[in-house]
Amino acid sequence: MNSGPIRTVVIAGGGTAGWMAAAALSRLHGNGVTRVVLVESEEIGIVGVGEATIPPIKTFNAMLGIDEDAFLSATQGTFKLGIEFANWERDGASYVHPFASFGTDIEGVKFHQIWLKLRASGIPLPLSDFSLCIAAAQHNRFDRPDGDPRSPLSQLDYAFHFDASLYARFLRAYAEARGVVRHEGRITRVHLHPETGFITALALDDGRSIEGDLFIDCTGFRGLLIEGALGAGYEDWSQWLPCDRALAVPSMRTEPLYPYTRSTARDAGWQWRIPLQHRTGNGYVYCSDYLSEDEAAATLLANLDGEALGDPRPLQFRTGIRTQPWVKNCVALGLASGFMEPLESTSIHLVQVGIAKLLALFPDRSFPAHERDEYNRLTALQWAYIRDFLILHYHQNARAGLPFWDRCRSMPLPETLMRKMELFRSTGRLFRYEDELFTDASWVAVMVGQGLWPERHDPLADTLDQATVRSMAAGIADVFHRTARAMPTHADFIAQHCAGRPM
Amino acid sequence: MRLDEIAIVGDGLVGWMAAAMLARGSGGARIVLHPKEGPDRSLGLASPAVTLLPADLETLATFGIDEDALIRAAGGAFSLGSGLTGWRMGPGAAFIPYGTLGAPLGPVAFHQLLARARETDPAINLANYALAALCAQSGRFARPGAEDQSVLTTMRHGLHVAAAPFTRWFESDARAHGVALAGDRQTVDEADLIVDASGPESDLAGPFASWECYFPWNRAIAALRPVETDPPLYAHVDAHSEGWQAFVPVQGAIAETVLYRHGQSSASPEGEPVAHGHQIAAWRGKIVSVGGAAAVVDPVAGTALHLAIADVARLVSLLPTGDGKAEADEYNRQWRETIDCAFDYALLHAAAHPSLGATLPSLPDRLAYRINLYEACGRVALFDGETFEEPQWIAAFDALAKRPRRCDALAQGMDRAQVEDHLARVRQVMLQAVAGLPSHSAYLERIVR
Repeated sequence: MNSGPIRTVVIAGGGTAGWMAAAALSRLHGNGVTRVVLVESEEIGIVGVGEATIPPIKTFNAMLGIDEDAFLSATQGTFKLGIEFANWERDGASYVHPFASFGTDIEGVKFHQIWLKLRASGIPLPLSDFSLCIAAAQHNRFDRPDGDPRSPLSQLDYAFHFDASLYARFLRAYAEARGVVRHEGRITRVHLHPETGFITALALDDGRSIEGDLFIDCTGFRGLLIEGALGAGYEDWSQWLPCDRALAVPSMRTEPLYPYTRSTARDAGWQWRIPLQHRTGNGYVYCSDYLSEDEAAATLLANLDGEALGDPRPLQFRTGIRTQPWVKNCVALGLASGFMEPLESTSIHLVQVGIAKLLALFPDRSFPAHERDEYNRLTALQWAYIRDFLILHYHQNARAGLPFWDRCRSMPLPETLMRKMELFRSTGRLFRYEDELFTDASWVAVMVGQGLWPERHDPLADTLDQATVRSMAAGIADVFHRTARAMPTHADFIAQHCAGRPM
Repeated sequence: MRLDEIAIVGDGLVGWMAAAMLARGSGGARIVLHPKEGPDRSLGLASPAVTLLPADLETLATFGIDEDALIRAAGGAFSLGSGLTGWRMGPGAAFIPYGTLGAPLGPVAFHQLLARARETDPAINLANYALAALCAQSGRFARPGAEDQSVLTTMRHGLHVAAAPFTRWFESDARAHGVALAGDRQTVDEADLIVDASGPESDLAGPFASWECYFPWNRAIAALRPVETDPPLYAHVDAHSEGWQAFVPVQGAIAETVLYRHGQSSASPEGEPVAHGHQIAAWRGKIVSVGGAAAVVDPVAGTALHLAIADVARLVSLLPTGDGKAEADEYNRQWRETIDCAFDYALLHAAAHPSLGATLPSLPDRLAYRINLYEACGRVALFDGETFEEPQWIAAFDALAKRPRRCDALAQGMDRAQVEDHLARVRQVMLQAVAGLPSHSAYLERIVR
């Protein structure tokens, strides 16, 4: 049995997933033995579209020692305070799923229970009053949060929008500066060891062979290594998330520059709007059972707020997860490990989490089953809970009379999601399981935003002093709006701190 | 279902504690306590002193229960972890501290640095780098102040308290909040919710699953022995040929509990039976079993009170207002996860029993998985409902002779001299902090006065 540290990590495929892996794994060079190489082909198009992210990406960048302003400038990035969901519950209704939380818990009673209690006692304040992120988004303003917990500005959290291909380029420079070697070429064959079935090398179209001990499959939907060579298998989730197409098109930047992503429900899916410094990213995610590509393109182009900067680019996908993202000596990341639509901007996050787990469970050449099993166990859990959150958006709708939405409203749900919805519907209670990504605040924002109202609140909220609660509630919206108005505009903040090269 | 009346069955520790917590958290329901005859076995077996883990002190604080008041009323002594002797162990003395272990170096966790350093010196003792262990060794302790940012904040503390005054304390608290004893003709059936805190032999129990094959020590004898010496800052569990014995110190006394295998030793007197196992579902219809009435996890790791507190806190967070079905399902799910994790931790110890460990059936999958993963690369698998956190699992593995075969890839890349330097510095900082602390007894005296 082989043993000893991994000598060569071969990352198959570039793009965001490949270069994020390369940048993070480059720190392994410190052990004096491990080398990281990446194989990509300029010819193969990368699915790069304007991408939105979520707050944990700041941790990833910090781990790499990346300066935030430098990164935003290089990627034409903007700030994101949350996602506005327009027409998802019904036409004409919209809500924001913000970052950070709503209000504050009092004496162990969760804020949203206090909010429900206020409503029950005749004070129906909107949930949005209690989020600084929403206040700032409404005013199109942005500022970085204050660490001092006494400042209202500490109640803010944020993430980014950026051009994914520029992010990949930025990380490539980082990784190559730290010794990661890039090989240009297309993979024509994956060589397997005759006895163990482990991957030994990748054959390139120019005849070269790239050998390695550990292979990271970032080859996209094809999963050349994990599926093509190792046959890992795919668990299809399209019965719950039936969208299977997208059309993406950039358009001219418009003013004001919004500090949030917008998702607008359409007849057979939804349209995204991602603001970048140099242009706006748009797309229509839809289900081909209910809409043709021409109809989708027409809808998309008719609903841009700036001139289109090209023809819509079609994408095809099947929602699901690789049955096992780590098989033998191959770990799949990004699209090779599965796909969930970007409804809650989780794609890059899942790459980040996959990399963190891989570093935490990094094998040696004996490749013991335990690390692999733990990696697969944790990955499956994380994906499943995100999946449930996405299904909630679709299922909990009142968009009557549209076949796609009628189907979503009546489809059977995973047991894990049904349990969560039932408990919330009964008394507004929520429990967060096993390290899942989305917090109580996120679930409350979407459940209530989509029209799922609890029948009653938790009786614990009745035990609080009502006068204190009311005065707290009355003051908050005011404080948040004043704080938001004092911030610079989103566009000004970027101009001052992280302007990219005009393109 | 309107929650007008909650009946609590059992006037032992768990019953009165549930009464006190529900009186605060039930949003106005009437709480009636129905006593049950016989000795207090609400925690699973008679326990003259009980362990409050750091998390338990936090839970009780959210219910308005003050640590200092507990110390004064129930002879409380601080606890920083527990010591193990006599088990199949790693080299050196074994201690499982509360709080964190050492300090990381960049992104590399401390226990991985330890594994790296042990490549040259396998005898390095983990307990030398945990602040809680150093305090326990030296008998010195004080809680950090609110503004404290020093290394003292990496330590967490629990309490050991005498069970009888602890129970009386909860009783007077509950009565002050309006809890009443049931009248002669009041029955539990009148209540909308019945909380069974009467212990393992309850009439209200449902179907039961036994864990006796994993814990052959099925009898217990417990006693509270007065002592003159200052209480140590830790409990201590010693394995003997037929089971184990725990020593839990409180002010002025020490509780000694022996668990042993029945019939194997002609010299030992008859103790009470211990029924290791759990109900299939803790919440059935309108009955919720809590504490020992729901499950008896081998008390080797001092988890009995923690599980009871977790049960009551969970019930408060899931008090039914509708038909209660969603709440009951969620309660049972969380309860099962919690006792399963506590079971794994206890079984980890049992499997390391010097003579009886080898006689146990093969370990269930989840525990085997935890051990295999740790031994492969020093990773700790954590699940929902864990009582103990990663540092305690690591310390337990280490104490019970489970070591990772190699350290992780990031630690491998570190220069060994740099690692040893870091360890030395960490220890230095901790020893300095310990030296500045008062003795345990002096600190207790300040609080009790």
